Amino acid sequence: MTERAAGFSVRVSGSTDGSATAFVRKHRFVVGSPVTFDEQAHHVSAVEYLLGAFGADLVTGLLAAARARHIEVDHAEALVRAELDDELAAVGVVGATGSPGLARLQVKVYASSVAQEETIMALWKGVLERSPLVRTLERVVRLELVLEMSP
Amino acid sequence: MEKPIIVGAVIYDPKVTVIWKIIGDFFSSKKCPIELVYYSTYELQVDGLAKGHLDVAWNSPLAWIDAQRRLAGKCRAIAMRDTDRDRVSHFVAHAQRGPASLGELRGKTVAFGAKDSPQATLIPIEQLLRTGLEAGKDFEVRRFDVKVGLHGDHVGGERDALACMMRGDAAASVMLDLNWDTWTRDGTINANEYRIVGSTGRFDHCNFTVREDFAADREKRFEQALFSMKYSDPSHREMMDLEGLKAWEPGRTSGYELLSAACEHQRYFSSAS
Repeated sequence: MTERAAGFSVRVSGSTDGSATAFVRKHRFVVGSPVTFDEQAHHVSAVEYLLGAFGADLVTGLLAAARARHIEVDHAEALVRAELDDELAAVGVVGATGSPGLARLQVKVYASSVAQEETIMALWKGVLERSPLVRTLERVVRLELVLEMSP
Repeated sequence: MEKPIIVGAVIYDPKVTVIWKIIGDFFSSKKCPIELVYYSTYELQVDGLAKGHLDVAWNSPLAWIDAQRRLAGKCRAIAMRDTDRDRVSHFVAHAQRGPASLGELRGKTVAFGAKDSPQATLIPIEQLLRTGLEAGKDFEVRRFDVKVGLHGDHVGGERDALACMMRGDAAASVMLDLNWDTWTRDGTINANEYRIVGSTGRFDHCNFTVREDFAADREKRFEQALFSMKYSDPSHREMMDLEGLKAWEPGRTSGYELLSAACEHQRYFSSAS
């Protein structure tokens, strides 16, 4: 097996329509704008990708941890909500005083399993400890992360 | 490439930039590119116009008055929506328990919108003065200062004033005629329980303001592009519905007398500074 270079690399190329395409390994995805407030926007925004990635980090992390311990988790789903500190700052409004950055990121993961709740909660604790995105973002954004078990 | 015309707009919700982007794309399609600059308050926008950071400002009526004041009258209103002309505001009260006329507001409390709302505060107070009722002396003012700086560009203040009246904490509340129409239609106001007991005189609302020195050829190009927007064109209709108009009209200044008098009598600008 060839040695892997340290770190990760993604190439991002801009398009004439203002979007950008990210190329990573053999995959690609299109990003429309840094942030959008248009419900009809054609492409996913960078902020939306971040929220999706964060929720997926936790869901896939939980499923992988369960699989590794041979614990059955029938279903896991995350609902991710976030707020910017100042949305007007994000669109460059003169007079906006806050930051366009995220102020709050809330994730509720719903999981169903026949395993004991304490078992799944222990898995969840490990997922949070090992998650690259949780450990990065917790330094700069208020995170509210909750796991809810459903029967 | 032709230098874009810099247009200012005040926004309180980033969703509003979506409408302006549609308008910007429309202007580009008419070969009259515009660059949009957004402001959080009308005061800042009038600053921008006065300092030459903007070519055209989409101004509230109060911002128009402010621009005239700060530019010593050296500005023009070049266009407005059909819906910006000949508006009135209504005084609304409970049909059985409330006053039957403006005169019966003497000694009562009246609920108004934000302190900088032409339609829900400044003009109605002026109207009452012309009816012989002085604020603070002949009636109590109960104001709802929601999103000050936006000149009533929202219904928050009017809605709170309405709720105040409905609770019985005010004899009447004030609202723009368009809001009376909307709220009686959607059930917010039961038109059998509440009624209009008086209205203001007619007044005009927003306009596109330019400084006197705005180049005539650029003004003409802007107006040509703007007036080419037609409600009968299905591709323009969504944009016009979002902006709340059926047609763009040339600017006029004959409809600002009530507001101008209100600002003078209420010392709006001297108390705001």
